Amino acid sequence: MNEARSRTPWLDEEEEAGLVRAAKQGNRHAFLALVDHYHRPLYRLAFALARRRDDAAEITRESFARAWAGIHAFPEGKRFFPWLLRMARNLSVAQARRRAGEPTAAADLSPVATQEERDDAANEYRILDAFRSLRPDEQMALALRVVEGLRYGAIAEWLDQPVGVTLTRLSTARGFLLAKNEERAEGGEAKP
Amino acid sequence: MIHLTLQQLSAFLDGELTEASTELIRRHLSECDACTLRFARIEAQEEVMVRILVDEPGDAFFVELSESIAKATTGGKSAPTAKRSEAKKTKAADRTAVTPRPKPELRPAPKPEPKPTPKPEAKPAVTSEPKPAPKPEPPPAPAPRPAIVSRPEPAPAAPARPPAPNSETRPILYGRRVEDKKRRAPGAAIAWIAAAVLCVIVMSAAWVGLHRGDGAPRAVPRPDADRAGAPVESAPLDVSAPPAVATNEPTPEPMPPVATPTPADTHAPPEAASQPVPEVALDRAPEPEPTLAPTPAPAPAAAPEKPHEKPAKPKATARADRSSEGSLRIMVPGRQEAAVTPKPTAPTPERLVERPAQNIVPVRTIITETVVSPDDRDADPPPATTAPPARTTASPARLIQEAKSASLRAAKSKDPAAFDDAASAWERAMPAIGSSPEELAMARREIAQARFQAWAESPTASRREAAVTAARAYLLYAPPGPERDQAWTWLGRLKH
Repeated sequence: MNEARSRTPWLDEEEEAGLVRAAKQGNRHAFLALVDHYHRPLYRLAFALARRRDDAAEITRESFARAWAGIHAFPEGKRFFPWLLRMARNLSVAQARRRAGEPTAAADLSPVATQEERDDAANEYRILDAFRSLRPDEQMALALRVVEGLRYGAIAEWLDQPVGVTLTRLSTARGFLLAKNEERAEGGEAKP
Repeated sequence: MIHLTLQQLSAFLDGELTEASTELIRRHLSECDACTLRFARIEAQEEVMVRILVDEPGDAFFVELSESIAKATTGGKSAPTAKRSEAKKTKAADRTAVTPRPKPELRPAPKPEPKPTPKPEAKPAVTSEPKPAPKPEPPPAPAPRPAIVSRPEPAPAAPARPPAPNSETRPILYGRRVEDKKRRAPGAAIAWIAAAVLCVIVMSAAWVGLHRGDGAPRAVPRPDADRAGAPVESAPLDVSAPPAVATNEPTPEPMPPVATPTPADTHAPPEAASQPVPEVALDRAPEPEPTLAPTPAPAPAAAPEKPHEKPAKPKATARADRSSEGSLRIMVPGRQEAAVTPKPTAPTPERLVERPAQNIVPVRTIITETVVSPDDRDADPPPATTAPPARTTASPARLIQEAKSASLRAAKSKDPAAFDDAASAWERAMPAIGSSPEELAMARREIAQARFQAWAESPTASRREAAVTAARAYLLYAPPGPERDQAWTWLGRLKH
């Protein structure tokens, strides 16, 4: 069983509320403090959704820019990161639409790769390709679990949804990936 | 055997189950190869996903990213406060543009009398503007917008219109739309609610009329007197008229299907197929089920009482809720398993052991009499008749001792058959092993090791398969560290 391992020390709620309040009043340094704390997890999640480093950086940058532009509309009493996360999710959906026709990037294999390495690469390719066809909310839940190692309660909090929905989305996503991978492996396709 | 659902496996993988549920799933996995393999595949897939979804580009990248974000939040964009004041103006302008009637608060502050005169209100505020304003200059000529002209505070270079419908105005427009929706919503909602209530009333009236039939006075079904000697055909009619009708319940709960001990009900009806099978609830100790264990013939009057005592049995819906610590409990597996295998399977030895002693015999009797068809009985003998005697006759300590001595013999002789015997001995001793994870891990390790060594000494396809299964089962219990690595090593060697 996987142990829960959150990689991000989340900001204290009071501290975050103070920073957001100051940012709403135009204090840019307060906003940059939020950026400093949250740009790493946001980039990691954006990378899980976009799977390209430049796209992930662009999504991160644009999310913070939109957050700064719309900080005056930020609702009181809410956490900042879920709000940011929704922007990143929407941007990644738009990014995925733009890149819809492009094939999934295959792993770089050396010409002398062994058969085992080729099989592993093919497996990774299949899973990655199946991950692209998950729904955005399932991708996000799975990314929060896999990348950030959050527990279900925290995932539900960040995605603003009940815990039962988180459980269902994660299990549905895993089942879909499993079925898709096996189906394609049996069909002998998806060699990178 | 009812297999684990994806939700259970997923929550088990993430360590989100309670201790009791985790232990029950472990027990199931130790018995069910299909679920073990499925779990191993999910676990392997998870490892791949960690590899392909996680990116750690390093501190230099993040420093650069942070700087570019800082630039993006300054370059060409104004501070939020300026935007906010501008947005306020735009909002006010928009509001007055939509409703040109001037409001008192839009009038200049120095005006002494707050009451509006009715005549100027009919016109836009442009006409009323020169009256309070002591300024000599007239309002701007080209199509003056009322709010801007009548705004008292000195707005620095306030434009007549917002510059562009960009992100600055979006929240305001959105807010206005929301307000409009709120304004419109109650009428539609009331109409819908009224229609729904009307439908419910009409349907319940029709339903009550249908079941009253000849207009006889409605009586709460008396459990003892009316139904004890009632014929079999009348039983469903009585059952389908629960007291929920009197409370105007729109969807009355169906009664438990096997309430009457008549042979006609022993064939599960379609509703019974979707009813929960008690063994499905993995995280609860199986309760003595009144619908499965009535006394068949001698006491028919006792059975009809049960549905009224417990009218709502747990539904077979997958449900996850949070315990007091915030962790999840899987109450019941998913529906598809219950729908695919509607009939109760023969109880596994663990389940029989966990039941209270007085319930073992009636439950098994009912199951074999009612559910298992003669073909099934011929095809495979019920395990409940064979397994429990072996468990009850051989003492646990003796079984474990035999397994240990078999392991020692195999280690000395290095004979593959001896390793097979040792593995079999440990498998026989598994039910005698305690429930602690350490003991289970020890037994699983012995089995996996014996199977692997048997395959290593004399590799055959069947030994390989058995060794893979045993190694995967051991992986569920192996603590992280060298022991778990050892299991992975076995699996790696078995695969290639």
